[in-house]
Amino acid sequence: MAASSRRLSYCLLKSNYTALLRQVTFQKSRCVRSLSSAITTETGKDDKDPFVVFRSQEVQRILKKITGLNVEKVSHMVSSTLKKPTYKLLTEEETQEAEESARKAAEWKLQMPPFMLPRKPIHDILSKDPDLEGFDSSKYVFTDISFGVSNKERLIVVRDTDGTLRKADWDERDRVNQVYNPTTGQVYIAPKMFDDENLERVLNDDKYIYMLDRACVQFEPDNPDFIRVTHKTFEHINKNRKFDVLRSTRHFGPMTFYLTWNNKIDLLLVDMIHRGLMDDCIDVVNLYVILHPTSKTANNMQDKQDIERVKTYCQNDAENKAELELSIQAFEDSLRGKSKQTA
Amino acid sequence: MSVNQLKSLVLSLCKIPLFSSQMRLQPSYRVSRHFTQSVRRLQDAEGETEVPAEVNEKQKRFEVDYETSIQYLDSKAYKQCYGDDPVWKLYRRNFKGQLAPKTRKTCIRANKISTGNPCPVCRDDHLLVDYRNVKLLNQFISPHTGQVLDSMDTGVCQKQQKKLILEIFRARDYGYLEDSVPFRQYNYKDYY
Ligand SMILES: [Zn+2]
Repeated sequence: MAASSRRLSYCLLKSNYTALLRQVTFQKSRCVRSLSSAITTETGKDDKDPFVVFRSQEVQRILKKITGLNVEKVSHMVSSTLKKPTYKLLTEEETQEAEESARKAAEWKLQMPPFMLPRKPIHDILSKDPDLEGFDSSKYVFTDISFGVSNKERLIVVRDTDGTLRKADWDERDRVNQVYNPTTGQVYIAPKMFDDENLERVLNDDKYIYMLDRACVQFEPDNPDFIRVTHKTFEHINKNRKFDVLRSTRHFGPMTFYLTWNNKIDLLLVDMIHRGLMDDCIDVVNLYVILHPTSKTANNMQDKQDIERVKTYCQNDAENKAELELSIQAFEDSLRGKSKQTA
Repeated sequence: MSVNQLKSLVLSLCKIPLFSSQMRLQPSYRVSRHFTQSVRRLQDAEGETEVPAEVNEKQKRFEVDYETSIQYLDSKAYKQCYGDDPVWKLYRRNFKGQLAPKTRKTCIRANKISTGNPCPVCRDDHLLVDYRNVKLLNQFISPHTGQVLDSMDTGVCQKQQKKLILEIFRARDYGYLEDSVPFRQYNYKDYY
């Protein structure tokens, strides 16, 4: 299997020689990344599709709100070719307009990557022609490259060496699409930083944003590898309580969604309370109620307001009950202290 | 806790002889080694007769592994020698005329330094260009553009420059170095 697929990639190599040469010679042995790396992380309830919930208006509104918008963090320095700065004289109104447009550009950059289930493998055999067995020592890939066809809909079929004609599996599709319709930043062979042994090291260096950004560019959002990488990153952040790194980036929403989907929001709530973001905290609990409508919290939530909602969650479903209770108390005490001072 | 551990590690490194011979810890000796060696060779030639074998032994280049090189970049000896500057900062090339030609092909031939003014990477035998040696690689990347600095700016010989480019590529592949990532926009309708 491995040998024949490598031959396949060499066939492809002929068609897009220059783009591929560098990468293929660089790590020949890794030409094939099998899909068997598959999904190890649980996605909670398999019967429900998280993407349907994720894209619903109310959930999107909550996620966008708790992400926040820090224009300076979003439009941080990106190393690129040097350009001369431009200087302009602006009136007060024009300055406001410029700031507004900068804010819009930053908002656009906060678009969240979809949170999806892993895609289903393709096993579509179109025809079996035993007569053709041994016609060549390598597989043939046929690709529809007509203009205007999206990568997802493109027709790609493979003729195996034993004569069967089948639809290309996802791995082959990704590589062929990258050959004929390349996306910038994506490389033919996935970077080694996504391998399990390197992933842990990169995460220990706190390069969360880099890891997630690069995964977005390299993989489709329903690729099992994308799901593995992002979920591991979220787990790592949750374990080390580094939530603030992702705040005001496009990944904060999916992270919150992942944690809520898997009942792991306790540490996130504690972190939010410590930072004095009680509104966000209440929003996360609301999100929890939307995602788990049959949970104890949801049943006891009627006509509760504000901080009471968080307390309800704490009593019913929290795993780190003691810690959460303590931080809620500390928050209330500080509130009381403030009101006394003002009075 | 980890900071303290690091501190104690560095301190202990400074106390014990870190590198194979104590002489190598003296930075001034190391960088100007090629001068002193030639001087010593002259002195030796005047007096003794049995010397040539010993000289050959000494001329053999010390080969570092990447772990030692990483330790060296954190060590006191390195700090004394280079300070906070990149290793190529104070290096000056020798050339005739006003326009500098391309840097030389290589400084090391047959495991010996074959030139009077070896490039900033070759002259210090404890510097190893390796994808895990992030501190060294970072000195050869422009902080503004993220590109590898040209050898005309750094004075590194062609052999080391090629190695630098390759190892920086590898470091980015392994996630040791960060690269600028283009923004990816999603069309949600593709996934419905
Ligand atoms: Zn050199």
